[in-house]
Amino acid sequence: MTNAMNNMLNDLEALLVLKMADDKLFLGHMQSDWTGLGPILEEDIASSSMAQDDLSHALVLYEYLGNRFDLDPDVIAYERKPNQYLCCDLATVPDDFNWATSLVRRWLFTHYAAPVLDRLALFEDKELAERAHRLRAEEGLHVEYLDDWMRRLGSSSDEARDRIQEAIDLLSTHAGMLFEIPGRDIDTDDSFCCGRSELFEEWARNTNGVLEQTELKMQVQLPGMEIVGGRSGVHADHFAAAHAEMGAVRSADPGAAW
Amino acid sequence: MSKIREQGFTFADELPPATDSVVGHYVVYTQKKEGAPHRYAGWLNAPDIDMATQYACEHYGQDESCVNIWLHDRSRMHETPVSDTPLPGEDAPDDPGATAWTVFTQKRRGDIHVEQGQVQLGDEKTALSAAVARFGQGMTQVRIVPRDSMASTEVDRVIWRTHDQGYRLAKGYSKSVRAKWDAFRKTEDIEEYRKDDIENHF
Repeated sequence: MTNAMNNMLNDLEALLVLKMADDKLFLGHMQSDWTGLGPILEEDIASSSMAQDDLSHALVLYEYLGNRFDLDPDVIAYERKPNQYLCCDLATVPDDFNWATSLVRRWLFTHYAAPVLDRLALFEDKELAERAHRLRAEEGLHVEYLDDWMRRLGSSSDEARDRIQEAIDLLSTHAGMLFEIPGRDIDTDDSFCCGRSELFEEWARNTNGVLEQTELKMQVQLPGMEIVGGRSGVHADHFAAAHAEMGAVRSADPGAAW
Repeated sequence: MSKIREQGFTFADELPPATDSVVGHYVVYTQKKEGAPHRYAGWLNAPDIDMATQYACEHYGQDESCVNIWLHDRSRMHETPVSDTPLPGEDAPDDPGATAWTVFTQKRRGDIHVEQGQVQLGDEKTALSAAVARFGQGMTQVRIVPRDSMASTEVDRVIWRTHDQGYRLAKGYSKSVRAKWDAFRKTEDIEEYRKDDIENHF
């Protein structure tokens, strides 16, 4: 572990950026599995395009951290130990090629990413604020797109509604941990990026706003501060599988130029 | 396909194929820069025009820089036959109370259709004839679409992404990947591989 990497991992502001980048890296990686397997051709193209967005957003954020801490973005993305990744469980929970699960996962996440990017865009660090501002505009496309699908399927046939409800029931148990504070040193709500509770309330308001237009239901509680998960580097088993696969090519020849 | 996700993947719950009754065919035009004409990009299937607009943004809107997208149901357009001889057309004065039609023309066979302007006339026959007279000189085909049947992306909607898009473009990709590939393998090996590849396929 280099000093530069240690400096990054000990910087509280950097952790706020890193958790978003890690979420997007894994989400993009998981969703890319669907390329060529989407339910219809146009949906396949659209979801692959958005998976590319997530990977690019991760790169934009890793580049920012790379510039700030003098690190190669690829090294940040691929060469940390598993417990140094700060993504939440929601990003890596397998969807078992169930389209409803894939859709609901992305929908739960994009409603979290949008307000977080709003807040990062207000940071004093101009470079970070500008990058977050650009990503926020694109995140808005994901919100609009996924909301549209949730409204359609949630008020469609019994089968469509049941499938989406099942996915909500499965994934909403992980949704609360989106709001886990990265790095144990940040111990009050107010010091965390404009407040953890406030962020959660905004997320709940926006997601419920969509569900109210459908026959779908979701119950998510904000977990207690003492509950530790992915954002603290304590990952579920499915993270290890996703991490090993994502890094397979990189670890075959670390440092190779591609 | 991802190794970890091979487990539990079955086709048992596969949905029945979509049919024409639930999927419409939409024609898509993209605008590269503000003020530039909209150009035919392709067509796509979608359940309705709102979803078609979303799909068009993610599909044709990502082929090259794009600021606006128009689209319409394929059944709403009217066209002249493709002709190498001058198309016959008769102009008529616009009627402000009549249907507005957007006019697209094709210069040579196989070219894409490009937006030219508008005519405003009651029925499609008169409108197409006037469109030919005004915009059809030297063209092989003229197409008209009623303005009110066309959907458009909202002003200032982000379509083409703002982060580096080089990797999405085939031209940028092929150049850099070819360079890496060449460095990785000897040229004669590539030629040998190609020979095998062609043999296997034909």
